[in-house]
Amino acid sequence: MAASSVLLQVEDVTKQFDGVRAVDGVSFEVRRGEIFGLLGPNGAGKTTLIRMILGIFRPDSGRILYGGSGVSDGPSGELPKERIGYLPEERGLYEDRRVGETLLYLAGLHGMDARRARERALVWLERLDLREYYPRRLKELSKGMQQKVQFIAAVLHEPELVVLDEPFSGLDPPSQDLFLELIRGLAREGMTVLLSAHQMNLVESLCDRVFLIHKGRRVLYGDLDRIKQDHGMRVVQMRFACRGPSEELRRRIEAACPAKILSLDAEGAELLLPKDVPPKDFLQLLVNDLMGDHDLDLEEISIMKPSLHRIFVEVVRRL
Amino acid sequence: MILERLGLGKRTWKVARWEFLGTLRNRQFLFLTVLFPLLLLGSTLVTVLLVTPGLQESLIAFPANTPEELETLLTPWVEGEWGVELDRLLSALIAGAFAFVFLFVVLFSGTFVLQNVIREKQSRVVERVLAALTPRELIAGKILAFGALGLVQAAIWVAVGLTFLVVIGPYWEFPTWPLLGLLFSYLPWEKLLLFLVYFALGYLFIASFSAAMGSTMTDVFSGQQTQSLIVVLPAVLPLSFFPLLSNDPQTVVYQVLSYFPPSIPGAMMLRLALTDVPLGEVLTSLGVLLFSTVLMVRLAGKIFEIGILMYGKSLSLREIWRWTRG
Repeated sequence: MAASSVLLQVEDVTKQFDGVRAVDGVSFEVRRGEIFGLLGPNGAGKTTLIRMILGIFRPDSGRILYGGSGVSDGPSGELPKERIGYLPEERGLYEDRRVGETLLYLAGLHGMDARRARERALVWLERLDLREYYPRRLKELSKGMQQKVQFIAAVLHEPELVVLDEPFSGLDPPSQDLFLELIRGLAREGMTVLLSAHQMNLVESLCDRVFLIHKGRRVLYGDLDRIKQDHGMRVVQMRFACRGPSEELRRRIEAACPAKILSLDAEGAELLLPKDVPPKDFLQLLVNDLMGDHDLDLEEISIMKPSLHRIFVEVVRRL
Repeated sequence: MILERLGLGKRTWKVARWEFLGTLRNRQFLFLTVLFPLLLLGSTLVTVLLVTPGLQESLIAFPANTPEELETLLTPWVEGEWGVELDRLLSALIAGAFAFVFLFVVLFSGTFVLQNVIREKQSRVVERVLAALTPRELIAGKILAFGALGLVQAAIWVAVGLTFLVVIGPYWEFPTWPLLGLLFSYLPWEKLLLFLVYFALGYLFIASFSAAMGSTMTDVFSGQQTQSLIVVLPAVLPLSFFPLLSNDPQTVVYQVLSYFPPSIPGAMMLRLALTDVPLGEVLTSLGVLLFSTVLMVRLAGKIFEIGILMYGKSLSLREIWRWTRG
């Protein structure tokens, strides 16, 4: 990977609060133009990491490099704030101020001149059906509208890197879809997006690469398809009619193959196939051992790569 | 440019402009600024006229058309009634008035900074802003904005007061213009210049302190409870002991207050207004004030940086103490 394609480099970064390591030896890089997901449950250290990337916190140790070179030895606070956009998790804007002037002020702080900021603000508000709210005070807007305005405030100044901390939290489903589309749009416009989320299923389709974090530490990192391939697990979902006791069925499955039973009752089951059991083998086993002499009528079956969330849960369990 | 050498630049001005214009356009602020002095003047006037019926006669007892005529008329009267020379009385009055105005500006602006920081923290907007600038730039912008607002407010009060005098004066045949001319000719410039220094440092001290305290609080309510302690105490301490000073300009209380950093500006301005303070004491107090202000600005920056992103709890003094050493 050529150095110029790396926009942000996080190197062995650690931060502790009151003796607790919120972020512990984390390293990753974000490449130009990609949508990078920083994923993990609440309290995993995502926000702390993001605040360090933005120079709001200083790491206790480690470095954060922007642009691949140049800032190598400086404190991370020296990041080019003009070229970064930020949507914090805890978000709010000036309640008593007007939507338009607020957007212009924030874009101005990032160094964008007022005329250009105004043009862009109008385009964005138009795009999100908020055109007529330009001269209105923020407190007159509904919560959903305010969230859109906050999103605009993060991207108005045409940043090179947009950092979105939990962009989907507090959104209703239609808004989640809208935000997914908006974020894809940013990447199409050439911005690099770093987003954090705890709803892994929601962002799985969005991210090119991901960093999964748990208790401040790396769990998984890399290309999303690659991660799924490397983990090689399969999820088997079956619907069936079982006339015998399901406890008996459970025992037989456990005896026949090393699949992990996620759920099982008289009507269906969900299993997790480990990497070393190919789908073909499992099907064979199913037909020969389980269905043969047992009262099991199979109605539906699917064998799929697991969701990112499933992989995460499995990996964390094994830690 | 001084600001840039302190690591502050264009963005500080942008913050200052945003806060300044935003507050200036706030209806509540305008209402207070214009109506407050009018109400005060009106009620004072009514009281004075009701309580002292002879006042109107004594006011027009000095029919003068020029400051010089007025001075000639006033000099024997002042010496007879008050036992002091006219020039001493006038310069003490003027300096005292300026000292009061400056102290009020410190008081109001410090409170503004405190409430603004708390509101900004409460609305969560601060984290978004910190992605664009440093905490230092943010605090500096706010301190500049509210300092300027305080001065504008004071200027409006003075202007309202003078307009009032000019409008009302003729109805009483009161020598408004000669009096203003006389006051102007006795302006104690050196003292006022010195006041400006005390004011600037004192305000910087209080405002930094306010910003730091605001950043550790969770809501405006807890702000109001403590703000009296934070902002009012240092500015009001010298004011509340004022009778002591007017009785005895050398009183020990003021000697002490002159070395307690938060109350140095108030104590020294009032002392300077009433008496001549030895140069050595002036310089020492300035030194102490300068040193403690620099210290406070640094400390405040540290506290602000950590406090402003701690949501959901107000911080104990102990925790604050721990950070500042960290």
